[in-house]
Amino acid sequence: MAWIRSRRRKDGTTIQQVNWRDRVSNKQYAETFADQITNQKFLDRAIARGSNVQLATAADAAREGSFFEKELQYMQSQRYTVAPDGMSLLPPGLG
Amino acid sequence: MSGVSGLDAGPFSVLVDELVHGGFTVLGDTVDDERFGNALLLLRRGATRVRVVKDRSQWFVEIAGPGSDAWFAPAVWLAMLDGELPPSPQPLSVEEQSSLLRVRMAEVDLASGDETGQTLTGLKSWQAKRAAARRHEFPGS
Repeated sequence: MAWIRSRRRKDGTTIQQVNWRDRVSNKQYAETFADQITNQKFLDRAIARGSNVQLATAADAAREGSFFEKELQYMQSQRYTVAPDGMSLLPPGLG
Repeated sequence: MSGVSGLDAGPFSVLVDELVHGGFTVLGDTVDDERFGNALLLLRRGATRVRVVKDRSQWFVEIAGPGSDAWFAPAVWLAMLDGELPPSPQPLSVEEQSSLLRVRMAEVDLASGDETGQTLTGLKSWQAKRAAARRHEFPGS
């Protein structure tokens, strides 16, 4: 599970922080982004690890043209597939 | 951007004004500064529920499925009402989405009152077909 928070820095700018908990180790991780638009860095790490990606919203319910849908499309371009239940993305070879 | 009603609904502000004048009641109007300024405006008239959502700076309008917490895009409602997917998998424009809510609201009202579950099942089915069509059209774009 991952969640995103917006944090205001002392200089007045805002950064985005993605937090997630590893399901195996149960450790919590955090990654910060200056860009609220895309979590590509986070996704690229998941791809590099060959991880399943759990979705908070069903893939079919992605709003058309939304950043969430673009992230799904990006994962699809990396040969990830939507699991039959629509709630996770499976790495290449598992779909 | 806010219309004469004073409600900020981004590009859908004019539509929201029209809905309010058409008898819709505003049930909620919230902004969450902690989450990218995400916003939610919820309206209701009878069994029909409409919401305008600002998600990561993008605006969307959605209509609830009858008797459920599931929300569907105008394109999905259009498919359900017409019995076929919109010809293009591209997202509908703001004007096209607004037009559905203006022109076909009587049909939406009627369908929203369905208590058999058939409309909700139909909406979910068309939502899956529409998502599949979009995934097929934009693989990895």
